[in-house]
Amino acid sequence: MHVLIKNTLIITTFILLACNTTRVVKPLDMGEKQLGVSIGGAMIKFVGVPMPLPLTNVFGAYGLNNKTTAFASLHTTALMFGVFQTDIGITQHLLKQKKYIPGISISPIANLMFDRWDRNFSFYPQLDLNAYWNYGKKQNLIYTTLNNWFELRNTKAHNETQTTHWLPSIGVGHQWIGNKLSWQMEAKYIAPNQSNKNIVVDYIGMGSQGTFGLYIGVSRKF
Amino acid sequence: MKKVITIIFILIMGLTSCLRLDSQLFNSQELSEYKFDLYTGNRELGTLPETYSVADSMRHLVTFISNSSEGAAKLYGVYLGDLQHIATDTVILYCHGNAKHMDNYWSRAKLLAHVGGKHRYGVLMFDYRGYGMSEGKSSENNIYADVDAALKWLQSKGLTSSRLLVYGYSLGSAPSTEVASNAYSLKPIKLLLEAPFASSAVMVQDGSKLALPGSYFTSAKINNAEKIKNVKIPFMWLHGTADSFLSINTHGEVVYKNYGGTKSEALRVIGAEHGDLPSILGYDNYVNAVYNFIVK
Repeated sequence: MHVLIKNTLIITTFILLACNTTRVVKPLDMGEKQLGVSIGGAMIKFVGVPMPLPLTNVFGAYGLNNKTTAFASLHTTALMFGVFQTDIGITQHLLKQKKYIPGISISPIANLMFDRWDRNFSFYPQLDLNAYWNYGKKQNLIYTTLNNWFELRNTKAHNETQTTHWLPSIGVGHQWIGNKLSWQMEAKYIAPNQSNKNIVVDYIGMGSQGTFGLYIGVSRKF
Repeated sequence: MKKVITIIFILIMGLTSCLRLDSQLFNSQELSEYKFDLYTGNRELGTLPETYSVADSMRHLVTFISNSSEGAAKLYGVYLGDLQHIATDTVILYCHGNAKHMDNYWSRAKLLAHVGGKHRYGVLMFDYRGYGMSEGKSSENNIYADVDAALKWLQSKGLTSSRLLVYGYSLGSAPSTEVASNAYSLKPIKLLLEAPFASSAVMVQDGSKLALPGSYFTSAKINNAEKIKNVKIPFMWLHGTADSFLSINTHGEVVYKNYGGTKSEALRVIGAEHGDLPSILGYDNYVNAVYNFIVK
């Protein structure tokens, strides 16, 4: 009965959260540039069929030095709905990889949104912690990431109390390094601390908690 | 440089942002003919027991014109009862949900035609623009114009505000709360809302778990939770505790809590989903609960 309304709302409600691959897991070299696109999102049932939301975005990154990379993005699907959304941040190298001991990086990120309709502005700070291993001749990358979104508002619609302030996602991913292009695939488990029941969206999670997410991306370094 | 960035930003926003969810909030289906009892598609509550039958002679397909800023449209409605008695009867105006058309809600209208006994109250149900045989395109503003057209039709048949009750189910809670909270052709003396929306913003926030503005996704507000603050007439709220579409906690309870009057009644039906509250409660119990509220 309510299939249509559900299916249209789910396409949008997770536009803003966990809607892309991890931008930069391992910092670029100083002066190095990277441009990329990614597509994917939370796993939902669309007309009964499980699928990831096809949320798209483009991003660019620049190596400020060998340990720090700055990046910024434009969320193109959100843009089609009149919402300008970007995530701007840096990835900071913390620990160098030593054989099986992973390299560690951290990414503080500002997620900014602004809609053209009512001119509502939103800011969500995000902090990602990444662990990665380079391997093989091409230095492919396998990584795991802990993304943390923070909701700073204390109230939501109708002055009700906003009780959720932390939305974590746990992800694993892989980057295949090519001569020109690098391909990236990532799977996440989004908001495992949140119930996915009795809401308008049919998320696919483990039992009644959270939802899975699936993403692919491609990028090129210059 | 600042000007260039501003211009680029405006161009990007202006040229690319054309998608909105508004029209998708209205899950209508066109019909070339209403079938009522003979409708064979899936419908809310399925087929009722024979005791809730409505004779063909007491079922009247009616039409009226709805005028809004988007133009005029011919709407279809069905009146259950004796048309000649509208000038003296109490009438329940039933605003249906967002799915399909009146055939889908026919069983619900028949139940209301049995509140207090068969045809104790007249019942008018109608299709919003774009639903069933009604012309035009659905929008939030249009459903408010459409409900006013229904009120005007009742008024033209002799109904006065003192004999009007409004019952809104799901999406129908929007036009129902609107006419109960603002000035329209008639003002109901009692309001009943079953499984109401709080607002489109709550739908978005339920789905995202974040306090996101609803404007990121839809221009429709469906802001019952605020409008109900202006409702002073007696109010009955019915909601299933297992509603997986419009959560009882984030939608229904907020609407109930924000009610601006002093005479309210809540019926939380344990285990009922969004569309099956009358059957989970039991048809007789449901009809009696509505009747008890009306005569209280």
